[in-house]
Amino acid sequence: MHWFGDPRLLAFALVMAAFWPTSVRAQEPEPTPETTREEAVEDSSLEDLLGLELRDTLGQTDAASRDTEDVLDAAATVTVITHDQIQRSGARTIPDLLRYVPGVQVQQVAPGSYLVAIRGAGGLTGNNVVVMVDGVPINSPLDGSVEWSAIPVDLADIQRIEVVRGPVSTIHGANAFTGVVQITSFQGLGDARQMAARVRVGVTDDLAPDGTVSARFVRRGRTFEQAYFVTARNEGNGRQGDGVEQPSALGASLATRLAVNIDGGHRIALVLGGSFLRRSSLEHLVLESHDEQRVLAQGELRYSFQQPTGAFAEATLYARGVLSLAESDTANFSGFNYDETLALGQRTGGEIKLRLGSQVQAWVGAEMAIERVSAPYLHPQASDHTRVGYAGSVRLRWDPIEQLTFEGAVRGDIPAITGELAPSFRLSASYHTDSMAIRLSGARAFRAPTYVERGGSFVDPSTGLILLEGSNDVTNPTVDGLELYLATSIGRQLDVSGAVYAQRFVSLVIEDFNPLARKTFVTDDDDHIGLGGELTGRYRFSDELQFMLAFSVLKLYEPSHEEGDPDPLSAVPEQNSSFTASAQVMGAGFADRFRYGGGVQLATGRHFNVPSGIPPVILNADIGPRVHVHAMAEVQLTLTLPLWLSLRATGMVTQGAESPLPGAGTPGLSFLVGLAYRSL
Amino acid sequence: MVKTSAVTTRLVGLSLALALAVPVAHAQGGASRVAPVLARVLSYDRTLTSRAGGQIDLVIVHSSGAPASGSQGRALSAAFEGLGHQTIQGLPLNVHLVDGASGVGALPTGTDVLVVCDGVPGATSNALFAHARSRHLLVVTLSRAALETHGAVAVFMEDGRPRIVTKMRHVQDTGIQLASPLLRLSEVI
Repeated sequence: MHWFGDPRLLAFALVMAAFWPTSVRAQEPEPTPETTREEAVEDSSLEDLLGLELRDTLGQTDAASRDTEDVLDAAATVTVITHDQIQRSGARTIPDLLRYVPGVQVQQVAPGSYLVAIRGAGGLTGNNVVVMVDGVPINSPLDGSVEWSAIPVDLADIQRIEVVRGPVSTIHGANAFTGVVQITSFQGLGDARQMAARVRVGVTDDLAPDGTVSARFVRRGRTFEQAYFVTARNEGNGRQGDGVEQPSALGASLATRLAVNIDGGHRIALVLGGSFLRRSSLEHLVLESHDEQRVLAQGELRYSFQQPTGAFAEATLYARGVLSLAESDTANFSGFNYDETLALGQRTGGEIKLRLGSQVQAWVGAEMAIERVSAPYLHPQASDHTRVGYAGSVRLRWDPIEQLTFEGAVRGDIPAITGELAPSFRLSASYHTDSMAIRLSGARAFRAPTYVERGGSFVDPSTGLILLEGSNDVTNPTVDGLELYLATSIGRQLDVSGAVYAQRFVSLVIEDFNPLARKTFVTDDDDHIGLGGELTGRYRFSDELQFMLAFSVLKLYEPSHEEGDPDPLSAVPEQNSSFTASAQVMGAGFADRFRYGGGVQLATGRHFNVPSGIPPVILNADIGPRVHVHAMAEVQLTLTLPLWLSLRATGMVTQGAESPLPGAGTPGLSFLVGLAYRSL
Repeated sequence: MVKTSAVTTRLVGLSLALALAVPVAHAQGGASRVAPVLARVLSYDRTLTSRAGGQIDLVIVHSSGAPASGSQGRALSAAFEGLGHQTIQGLPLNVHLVDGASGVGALPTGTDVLVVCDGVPGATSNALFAHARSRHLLVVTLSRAALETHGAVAVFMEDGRPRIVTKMRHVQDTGIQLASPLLRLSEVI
């Protein structure tokens, strides 16, 4: 009989095998002086000890598909900026933080006024991107623009920012033309009460006052969740230039998030936010600097129901609204301003999520939108009318094996303003493990024309001349995108991800100039092609010290462009070529009582034939490299009290016209000293 | 009949062997990965050096009434021993293994960190946690379930990997301050 045929011997052998390491250790010789040497546990990396993979470090997103998933598995390219990264970035504003995301272009037009473009096409008012705060889109119903300085949550009270790059209307509807920015307010630290308050005061380099006062209180219980945010800010004007006097941006906001979780998987959540902002009215359409006051409010009531098992996984019903009011100083104006503007957008919709077997998930959604805009500069047929739009969507996700995902989604929108069907779709196939992913995806997205583009009529009060005119002929611009994405770990310390893409823009809304200083919006018959690439790397020196690099390159072509044609890609937010490179470092020391971070971004882009002003002047728009920097350091004053003293500096350090608007692009720095209390 | 009996005997023998060997091997394998993570977690306790004397006294509390608890405690203690002489925040680590049957009275003087094994009776765990709150001690559990009732941080194996979960309300209750890298790398509940 063999030894393995005897169960007693076999049991003995197995038990010995199980205890073998202990036995061996017991027989080891007495420790030598070498093995008794003390080792500091701080020399080891917690990330390594935990065996974290790229999947863990990239985190999760719900902006790519409106459903929580790993960034590595998502059907679109996503960058997640975490609360920790925000805290240590030193960035003063959200747009300044976005400069460090590859493929995002940011232009500060005036204090408190920014245009953010993704992959080179920002739209005339920065309206090619949907921006959401806690799931509620905050784009103005008037023109899709975003008041970045009126976001009702301070940068320090943001949990994470997700930047989705590429056409994503299939998920987020109109205006998710080149991407989505989703901002999530601070969610608290588990179920602990969490309070924070901070005061930051300082000056710009031309001695204008600058500062922020903000606070939050967050408590998430098992049943009831509550969060409150309050902010007041003064964005000093470090950007005076060419004799254009622009006031500082002054704002205040309040926001609350309440939720009740009921046994059985039911959840009711309320999001409310409101802001007041006074800033310069200067922007692409309004070329003069007046004081302009804006009031913005947004809210959402959402009911959701989840089931952990079974075919019916989740149902969501929501009603959300956004309100925008603008008042301007009309004492000395040429006809361009947004005085007496009221814009209201309301959306009601729902979505269900189904499990179709173990490999397939499906989402079916429908939405109805109601819009009403009232403004004296709109044609009577565009103003004071209530319009209704509709949308329906279906999305399927198939995971035949754990590493392979196919996704297909279609959506049809009938935007309230055009009443024309705008289809969008997304198809993707990805292979992903815990340490790498490769994805090929294609998508179509659209933007709804704005009320200004369709019905605007700005009139010079002194001459009666129409300065700018909308046209009912402009239709939904569309973009088709094809993208290859790759992410991988190289060794234990370096993560790299990148994408190459091609985009084709069709039916862009452009401005046509004529010799009488009249601007008219028209649909461009020519297609435009965009080719680009993005690369991001994160190198981890230790758990406390990280270094990040990002690059992007972009080239936009208009194959059939002829001499004398309007040049849509030279309009303010667009750049027909662009290169950005950024580096960031963030770290901590002295038992985490000292935290620091900083970054530098180099951006260069080239506009050409940029008409600006009344009468229009062709500006020299070859733009040289410009450098943006930010740096912060903070120290905890005493261990017994969580009070932190901080120093921050941020701004442009080189001359480089960011846009053809007067005053924009001049160097300016802001220096802030702050005192912050954080209960945890 | 004889053949059937022999096969049955072998199967029973094999089952017994596996039943004996696998949990012990698993406990030892898990402990050897949990111990260094736990030690590293302590390096992020920002209040540790202020309450520790010349060394950090880490006390592993198990229950003699529950065999699994005892083996878990012994495996973890052995795993710490296997790490060699470690310093945390510049202080040497001293590991004690105690039976929680005697409650708080069993704790050595100068205890800085409590590691409560699974299987320690609820009343004992609660008493230990109340003691930790009054003395501002960090309480580490070895499972998520135990963390919910009487721990500030849990370190355990899940899906073949060590995992850290932090219960912030209990951290707040015990007056511990944890550094941001730990919160970044742990699941916060």
